[in-house]
Amino acid sequence: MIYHGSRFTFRPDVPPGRRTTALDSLRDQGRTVPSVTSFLVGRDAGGAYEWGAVFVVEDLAGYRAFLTHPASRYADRIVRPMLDASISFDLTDDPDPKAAARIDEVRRHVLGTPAPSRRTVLKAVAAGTAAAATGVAAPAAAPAAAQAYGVAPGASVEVSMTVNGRLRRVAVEPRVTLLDALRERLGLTGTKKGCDRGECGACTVLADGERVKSCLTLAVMRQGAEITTVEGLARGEELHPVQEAFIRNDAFQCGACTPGQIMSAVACVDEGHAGSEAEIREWMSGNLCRCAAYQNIVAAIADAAREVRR
Amino acid sequence: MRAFGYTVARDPAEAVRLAAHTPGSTFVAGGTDLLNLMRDGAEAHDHLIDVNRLDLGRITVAAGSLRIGGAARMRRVAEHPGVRREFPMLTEALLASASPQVRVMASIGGNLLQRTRCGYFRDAASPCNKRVRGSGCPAITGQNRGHAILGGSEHCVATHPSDLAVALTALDATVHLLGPGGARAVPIGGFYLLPGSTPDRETVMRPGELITRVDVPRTALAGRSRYLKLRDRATFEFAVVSVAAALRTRGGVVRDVRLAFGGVGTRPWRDTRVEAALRGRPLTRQAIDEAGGLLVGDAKPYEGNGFKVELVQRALASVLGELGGLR
Ligand SMILES: Cc1cc2nc3c(=O)[nH]c(=O)nc-3n(C[C@H](O)[C@H](O)[C@H](O)COP(=O)(O)OP(=O)(O)OC[C@H]3O[C@@H](n4cnc5c(N)ncnc54)[C@H](O)[C@@H]3O)c2cc1C
Ligand code: SF4
Ligand code: FES
Ligand code: FES
Repeated sequence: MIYHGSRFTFRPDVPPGRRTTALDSLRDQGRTVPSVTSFLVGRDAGGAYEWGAVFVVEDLAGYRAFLTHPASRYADRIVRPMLDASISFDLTDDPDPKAAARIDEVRRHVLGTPAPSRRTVLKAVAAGTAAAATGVAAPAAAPAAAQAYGVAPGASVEVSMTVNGRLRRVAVEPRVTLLDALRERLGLTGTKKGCDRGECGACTVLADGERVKSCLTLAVMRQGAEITTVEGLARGEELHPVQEAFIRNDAFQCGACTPGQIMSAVACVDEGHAGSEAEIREWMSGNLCRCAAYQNIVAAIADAAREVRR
Repeated sequence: MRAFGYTVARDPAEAVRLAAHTPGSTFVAGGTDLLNLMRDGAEAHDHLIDVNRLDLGRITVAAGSLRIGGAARMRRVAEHPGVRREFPMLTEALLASASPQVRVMASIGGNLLQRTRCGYFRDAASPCNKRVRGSGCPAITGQNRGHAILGGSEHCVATHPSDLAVALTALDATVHLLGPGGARAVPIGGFYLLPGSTPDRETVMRPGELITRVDVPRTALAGRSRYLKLRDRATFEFAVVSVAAALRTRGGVVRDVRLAFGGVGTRPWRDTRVEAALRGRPLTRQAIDEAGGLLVGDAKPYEGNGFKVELVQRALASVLGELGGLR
């Protein structure tokens, strides 16, 4: 028996009517695909996701038939674009240790995921890692601090991070940067993408209280981290002192660099590196401004530092 | 970036085992160089082994040496009170590197193994012997302003970009490695290779070896040290020329001196003949000029980087003058 499942949350902007259509397409899939022996589409009681779906098939042939059936393809096409976060998995009660790998192979073959590097994965597993080797992005998304986990090329793994005080989970491939996870998966577009190679600072966020360039780090490397983006600085209606100071000092022109400047400035003040204009310039050197608003940016930070010290 | 797998290693032995058993794998620490290399197509890896959860971040001042964990962050090392007090050159070299954000993320091991900034190397569309052995070196007749005047070969003249490595070279550091064949320690003077006909091999590290620690001997000399970095912008730029210098004098006579140079050699450059020329002599302008002359005696400048011959000598004079109290 193979249980093919997924858990998911709709994007907040998806209206109720379209949600119903999406859930119906999943149920249709269960009803029309002959190899499905039983299925369930329903509310996810785990708390992390809104919905879940499980389809049971007898064996590998049934699994393949399920994945290739037009109803599955149709459901996939309808549902996927509406999702905010999702995770899929395959469970099997087959005692053969190779079964999981075979399921993964079929899945990859059918879904056309990039050339598998099977050996890589299996060796990694053999070496004793709790690996999500079957592309079964493992529910091992456990707070990973102490726990090792692995994920195969082309497969996704669930990453949980506290973003602006809220626990968020995203299923991502290892190659997804923190920046892309924030902007494209969590809809936090306040963090900007400038150079995408560590040079401009537009993508600066705080990770566990320290400033980092989110384009130079992978989301999977931030499992369990606490991330603050520019959206998370204000306390309700009240802006952060650095935000206030940027406004007071007119510290931006086009605004493209501003969120990164502000996040970097928050850390700069916090680190105690805002004592003089020269010191601010040195410690803000990782943030470039194409509009050359530097004079006002430096003034704003000096201003904010005074404000904070008071 | 093309797809790759990812595994978090729990301890150094596991990291090494995973690397040995996973073809096409490499370690990732901060990712600040690796991700750019992979994005640019200068490197391709099938699997990354994350070494950030290993207990390799410690910085301790032990009896005879400073011990820096291979995964310690540049920021932490630069700020460490023992480092600031006893090894000012290290703090200066680190604070002159990259940007505050990068220093939060980047590790010492990754810093030592960062790849050259030669533009041809980073552009997957251009030939480059370091990236593809035997494909040619366009830098020798092309853009070579940033390239080496010392230690080059007809196959490659790229500089090593790490500021920290230059300082560690001056201070006689030792790099500790753990690999499938066990642990070993390599003096940094023998860690980096000259390009010769195999510029793709940059260090003596064997496949799958992990940098676990870097040790720096505690000496009185290290406490009187400086790192001078000359670059095109005031901050946040790689070195055009840099000098790491430690100096002890008594009564104006050089008791001991250590010198290493960045931006001029194909590896962090140390030339003990230059130090020998100064040791035991009064620290005068003339002595410094002679030492500088020795340094660039074998220099082979190219069209765009000839200015470094003069610049590195002036940088040397400036640092030694300052450390030795010459005016
Ligand atoms: C915008 C920018 C400006 C910069 N300016 C400077 C500068 O002025 N001066 C300077 O010196 N540097 C500069 N750098 C380079 C920076 O210092 C390096 O990118 C950084 O030190 C690499 O460390 P990392 O931990 O991020 O390494 P990664 O990118 O994670 O890894 C780099 C390499 O090291 C290997 N590796 C990492 N850790 C280990 C280990 N423990 N054992 C074995 N192998 C390991 C990886 O496999 C990889 O091959 C700059 C970088 C950027 C992005
Ligand atoms: S100098 Fe070296 S790195 Fe640069 S193009 Fe030539 S071979 Fe490649
Ligand atoms: S987008 Fe990250 S530094 Fe430019
Ligand atoms: S305000 Fe336009 S880039 Fe800084």
